[in-house]
Amino acid sequence: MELNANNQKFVNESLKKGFRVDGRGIYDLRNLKIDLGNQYGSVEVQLGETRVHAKTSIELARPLPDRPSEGIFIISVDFSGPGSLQQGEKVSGPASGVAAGSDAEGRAAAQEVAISRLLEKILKSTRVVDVESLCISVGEQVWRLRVDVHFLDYGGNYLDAGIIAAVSSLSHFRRPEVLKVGETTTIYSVEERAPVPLSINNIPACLTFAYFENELLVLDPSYLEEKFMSGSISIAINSNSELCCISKAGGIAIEPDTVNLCIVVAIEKAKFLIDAIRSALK
Amino acid sequence: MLIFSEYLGLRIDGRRANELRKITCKTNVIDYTDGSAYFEQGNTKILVGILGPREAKQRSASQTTQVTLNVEFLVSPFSSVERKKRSKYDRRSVEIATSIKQTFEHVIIGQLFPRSQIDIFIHLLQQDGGVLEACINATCLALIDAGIPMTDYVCAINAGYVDDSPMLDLNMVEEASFDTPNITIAVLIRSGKICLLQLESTLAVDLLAPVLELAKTGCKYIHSVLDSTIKESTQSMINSVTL
Repeated sequence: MELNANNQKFVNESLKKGFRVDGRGIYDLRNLKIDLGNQYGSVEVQLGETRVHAKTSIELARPLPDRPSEGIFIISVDFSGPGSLQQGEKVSGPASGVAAGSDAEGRAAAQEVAISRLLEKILKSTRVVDVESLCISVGEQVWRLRVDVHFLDYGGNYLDAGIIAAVSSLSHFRRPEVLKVGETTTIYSVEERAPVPLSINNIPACLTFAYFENELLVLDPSYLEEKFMSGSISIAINSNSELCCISKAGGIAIEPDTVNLCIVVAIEKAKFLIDAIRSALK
Repeated sequence: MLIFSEYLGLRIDGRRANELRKITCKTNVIDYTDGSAYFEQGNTKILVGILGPREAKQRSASQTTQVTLNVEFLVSPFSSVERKKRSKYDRRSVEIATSIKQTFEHVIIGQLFPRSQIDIFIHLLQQDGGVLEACINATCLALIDAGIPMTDYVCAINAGYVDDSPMLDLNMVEEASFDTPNITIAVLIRSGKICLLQLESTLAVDLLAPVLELAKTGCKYIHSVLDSTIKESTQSMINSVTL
């Protein structure tokens, strides 16, 4: 479906009658598929048409000077290639190509920064990974844990899919075992000893709601809905049903009651998502 | 731990739980802008300059139905203990600029200025917690000073929990402590609707409502400060043009 005024009206009008363009209910998630790769920590997640690949890797490093007893946790997000948010915004035709590109690029870049910052906030500030368990010897040697999130196909709602991918990848990952006897530390390769899982404190799930005129809410917006929405709110819930993160940056102002409604729905759906992640990892 | 005195219930800087830091603000502080404001909340100091509405510099960036906002957020190298220059393309700066842009996009009546742009330059001079909220308040003042029509005041505040009790207007020390849930909220004063809501770090669901309630009263106080500043500056403008 193209992005034009007629389609925008169509999306809005059908929402008023309680229908979504792709036939879902307003609080339905799209189909979720979590594919575990052959290697530890390699996961591909498909949420509707959105595809994300996440890969966890680990290496030895010196700890940061201000945190000598903590491992280093890095999240790197990649939007390049077909996963770029600009796709579809490029207007065809040689004359308008450059002109349309610059603004679309600017907007996409800001959106990309917002998504990667949120991913980082949810995974880091809520202590998903116990970084202290990544320390081998204080001030000397720690593990540097790195999650690479690659967005492959953009079908709306990158953030939720990205969180699912990153969390599944972290839970699926196994690191080499380390044994410390006195002064000597031995790191066993994967062939020598069975690798050990990371210590994961809790599993968060993020749920994004898009809202339209008259505060009509939909969960898990598709590409089209994301283009036509008046604003969005993302809520991250962890496995203890606590709020991890809320982000509503601008957009049309909404009633406080709408926020509460979103939270109630998010808690229910988060349980479902966390169960889905757990059962996929079994 | 962060509470200064258990007995008196005072915070690390001697405030009570629902007490804000001192707010000093002034509009029309820079001559060569269309609107400007200086906003100080405790030790967080912000200067905002507005250029526009004017013809869009890049025609590609202009929109035929409404105004284009361009927000630049600059952190002064001397703004914090760490003397480091942050570029305006730093990811945290871009994030704050985007939040402010998206907040004001729907408050400014943009349909009045199609094909134009409004530039908002925000300079963070000194930071001591609550940067985003102070930026929003300062931008709101500067936009009013520039005479740009808006539907309502946007007032922002941050709030959180310190030692299990809700606190308003966290400073940097309180913000930096890891377990402090930190909420930044911006509301439209007349309708009470929420423009921006950000929560970082974990918070039990039933603890959200009390802190939001507290934040709203804080926003109302900030509104009264902003409003009296605007009225004063308008009055002095009227006084200066009497013939």
